[in-house]
Amino acid sequence: MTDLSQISTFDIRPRWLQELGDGFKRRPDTKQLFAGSYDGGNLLTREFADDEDFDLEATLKAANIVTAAEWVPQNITAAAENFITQFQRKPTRVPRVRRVNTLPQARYILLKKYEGFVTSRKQESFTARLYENTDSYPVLEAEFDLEELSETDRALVVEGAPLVWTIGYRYEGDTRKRESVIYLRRLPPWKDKEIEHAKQEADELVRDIRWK
Amino acid sequence: MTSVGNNYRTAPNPQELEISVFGPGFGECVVVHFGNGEWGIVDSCLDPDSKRPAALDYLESLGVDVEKSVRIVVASHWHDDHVDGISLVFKAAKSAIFVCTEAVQTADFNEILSAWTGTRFLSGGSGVDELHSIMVELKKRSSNTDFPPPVRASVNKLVWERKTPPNVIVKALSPSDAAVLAATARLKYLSPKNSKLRRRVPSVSPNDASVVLALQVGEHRVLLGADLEVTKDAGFGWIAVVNGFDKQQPKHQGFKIPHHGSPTAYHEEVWNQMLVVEPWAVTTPFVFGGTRLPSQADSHRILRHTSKAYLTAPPQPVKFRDPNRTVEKTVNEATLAAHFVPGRYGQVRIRKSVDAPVNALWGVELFGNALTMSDYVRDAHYSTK
Repeated sequence: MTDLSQISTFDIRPRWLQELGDGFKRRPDTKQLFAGSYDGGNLLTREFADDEDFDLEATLKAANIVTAAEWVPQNITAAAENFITQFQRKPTRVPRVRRVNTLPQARYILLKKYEGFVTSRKQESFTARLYENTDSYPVLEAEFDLEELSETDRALVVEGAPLVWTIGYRYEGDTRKRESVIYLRRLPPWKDKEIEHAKQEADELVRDIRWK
Repeated sequence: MTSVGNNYRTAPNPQELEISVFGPGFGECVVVHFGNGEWGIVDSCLDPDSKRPAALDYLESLGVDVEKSVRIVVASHWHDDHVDGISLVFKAAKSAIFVCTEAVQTADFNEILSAWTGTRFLSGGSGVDELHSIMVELKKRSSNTDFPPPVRASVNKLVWERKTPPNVIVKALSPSDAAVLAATARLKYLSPKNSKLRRRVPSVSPNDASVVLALQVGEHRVLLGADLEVTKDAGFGWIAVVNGFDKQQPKHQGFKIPHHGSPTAYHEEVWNQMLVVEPWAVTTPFVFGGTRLPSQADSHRILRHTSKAYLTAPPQPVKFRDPNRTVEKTVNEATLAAHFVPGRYGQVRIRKSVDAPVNALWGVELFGNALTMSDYVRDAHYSTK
């Protein structure tokens, strides 16, 4: 197997490298060959170019570019030849070591989330009934200035329109902001099929009920 | 509910008539004892403490067998604030007939029932969900003749009677035929095909398809006003009810005041022609946005007709609080007003022996936050705009 003694740690982990496992991977853009292992946290890898220590035969066999039977220099396949040419053209890269920052730069802490519906609308305000969960009782009833909503959402404020209100802290670097976000939920419009289904269900439901 | 009366859990004796009004729990509920251990329930609301239907909580606390003793369950109209928990009540009351307005029995209503029930993924239940559950229960019962068939109430229709003493007659005084037609037309507007956006089912106003009930137990008469309002058209609302009332009939001694004492439901001729002088009268409060019912003016108007007027609770919302100070501060900053609903809650219980003379006094007990309307008017603490 190829020498993995020169191992570096990278903090950039594109999907094609995350799938590396133990073995080899060709970088899609440059066709450069990587060897190493990815343990789910850190990528331990070595990038090969025209490295003097590079064992070409083992590399090509391991990367399934040639089989053992095919490994006769004059029989190298066109694909293998391209491959060798590409990474031989590349200058030697010095592995760079970077520290992986595990703390995200931006995060959000949710303090409260209400869901509910609009109960009435006036010219400049609207009232909504808001639930923390479906069996909340009693519930919050609040009147909001329409200006709390975006211009697009204001048009959606009608009786029964579903509403979401979140309150939380947003961190941007070392700055903490208190945030209150109110928006109208966009539910899909009725479809003809659903209405037809509702009619059938209604007919089925009331068919056997005998009223006096 | 917190009881302040001494005999809260004392059931009425078999010869005692009882009318108990509960609310607000997003609305109101009336529980009636017809005598002989038989009960009726009109509308439903939840008890804020137990979060169960007020009627079930109350009857169970009295030791009443709801399955066998409740004879009639009425949904006066399908607004959220009158049917919260009514499907649970009806499922428990296996011997009861279900009564609702004639206006709900149309193809459009059935379609709405199914289509809008599907929006229950939105937080909060709705009156449609409750009635859908009731229809499912009625369908289950339809195959068994042991269950009495449901009744569509309309003007002057006898919805339930008992022919053994004390005789009972429960008669609907509304909706009028015109109101049923108008309500049907409005239901078409709510049909989902006309709605571009999926949303919670909007309410239908005005409440002219409400079922007003006249109860007669022996010689005692009580008028339950539901949410019926007054309209300019004589074919609708209270004007139609008063015009259709036989003036030769004895008048009612008690009144569940309609629509939380709102001026839109006030018709002087109801007091003059359908009620005795100084009847007892009870209403439940209503708090919504900036609206508080009954207002002080509404209460003064009611008190001009009777001093025996009661409220199940003052129309006061409960101030919003949250254990997290940041949440509380943000809610107060982001809103013009924020409070918990329903607010204060209580029960007015009125009893009288069926054998007592018609003009004998009724016994009145107040529980929870219930109070007399005179106290409400007197106390500046309750004053509203």
